Amino acid sequence: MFRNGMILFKSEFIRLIKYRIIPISLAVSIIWMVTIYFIGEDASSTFASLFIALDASVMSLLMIGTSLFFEREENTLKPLLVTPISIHTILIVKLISTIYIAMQSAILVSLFVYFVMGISLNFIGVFISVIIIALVHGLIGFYLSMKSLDFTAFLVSMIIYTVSFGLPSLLIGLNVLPEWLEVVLVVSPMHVSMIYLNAAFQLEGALGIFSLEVILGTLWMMLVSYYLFKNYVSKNYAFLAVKE
Amino acid sequence: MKVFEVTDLKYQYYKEKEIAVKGISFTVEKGEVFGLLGPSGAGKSTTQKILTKLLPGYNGSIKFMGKELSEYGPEFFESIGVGFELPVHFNKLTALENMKFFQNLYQSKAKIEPLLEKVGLLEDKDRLVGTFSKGMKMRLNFVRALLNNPDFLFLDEVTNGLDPTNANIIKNIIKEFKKEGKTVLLTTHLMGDVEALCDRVAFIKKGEIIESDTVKKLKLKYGERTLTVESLKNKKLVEDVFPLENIGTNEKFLNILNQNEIQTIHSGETSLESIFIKITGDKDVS
Repeated sequence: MFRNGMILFKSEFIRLIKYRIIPISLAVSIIWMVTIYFIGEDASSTFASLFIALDASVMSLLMIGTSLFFEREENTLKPLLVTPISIHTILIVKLISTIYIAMQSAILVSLFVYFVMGISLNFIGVFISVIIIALVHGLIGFYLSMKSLDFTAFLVSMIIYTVSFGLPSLLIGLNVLPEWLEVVLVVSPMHVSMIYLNAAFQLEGALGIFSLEVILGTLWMMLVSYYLFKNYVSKNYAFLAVKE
Repeated sequence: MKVFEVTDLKYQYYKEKEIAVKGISFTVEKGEVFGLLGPSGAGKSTTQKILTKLLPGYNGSIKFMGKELSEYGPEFFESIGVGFELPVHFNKLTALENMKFFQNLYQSKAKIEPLLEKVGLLEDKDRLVGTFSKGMKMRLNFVRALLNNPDFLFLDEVTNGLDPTNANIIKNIIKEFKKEGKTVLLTTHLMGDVEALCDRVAFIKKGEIIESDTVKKLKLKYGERTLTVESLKNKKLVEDVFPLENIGTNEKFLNILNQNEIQTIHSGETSLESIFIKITGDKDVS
């Protein structure tokens, strides 16, 4: 499985370059860095954590979902299923590729704010956060894409997800909603993503790594990932491929 | 030797009322080209998907080389090649990159360039597949099925979208494949392909096999044992039909041969297309 997984990852990596997904992701990271540079030192931590969280969550969701639609359009899901690669390996490789892209952006932005903007941050915290966030959102991307009849329906469901799970966090940040709601919002993967990165960037008022919210949020993210992978994505992937 | 032995195979799609495959049984012998024929929606593609392990959850027994198909792991895919009905390529990769992408996943590897040359795509190996015509994509599909030197080929409408010359090239490669003692399961509704390639066929209609035999025997069974002669008598075209029995002593037949100017002589052997229409009751065989 490991050998096949490595071969598939190598092929998938080449495909991501050819489909310009990796170059586009690099370009987005550069845009983030330029934006942070012009925002200035005061707010750069806040924006860096926000950009990394967005990249790992929304971009991962979009990448997996879009890639799945492209592959459905090109009928390339089915031929992989008649090779010696298992469905689990195919899915894991796709998730690792998504995490790789999110990590690439996170590493670049983190190094930039550390060396250029002179901001201290917990690198390990950032990278572990990005892995968890990209994993959960990659699986949510699979779920939304598999549930959508066409690409427009996928985009609509992605917008609904982003607004309904992202807006409450924003409203708490702006003090429109009371702070105690934060405990309830650990059910929102987007909110947990922000908690993680705020903690890793040691922002003012950020929760500690071992706070109740972070622990509950991590458990929830793991549970969501396990459920989506085991009970939905791996079960329905073959049907989706055959149906294409 | 039986490569596939299918017994009482049943399949129903999730949330579908209709049963797609209703207890079919057949065998595929080593070294033969076996045709699974039938109109669209008859269940032939579903059967192929089950045999290629794309559709789990079937009822009945499928034995591949004497062992239940469900007991096979990834090694099953090392020994088979699958040619799909529609192009299955990454449009933004070149033909060669596409082939390498898939071939890297197998242990056994055929030489890609000679295969591309055989189907007339060698010169286009570095072109993006997105710029290929449908016929070129179909030929590349066929190459993809042969990338791992398989012993068993599943081919679904393999000449779909090909011009007669290229269709002939593909058919010749299939014949070569068969000469090597390898086996093919061909799913199609193109009777020309069947006549050129298949040793035995099974007709599927509404999920059931309703006829199965060699092409020759089916032609004898469904054909008429007659001879139709068109000749010119007093500059007028006349048609006569004679039974094949004792034709050598049939006086009228012999007289026509001796006295009239013969235009055409046809036996009553029927075409597979006519058999298809007769058996499946489907008038649309285009």
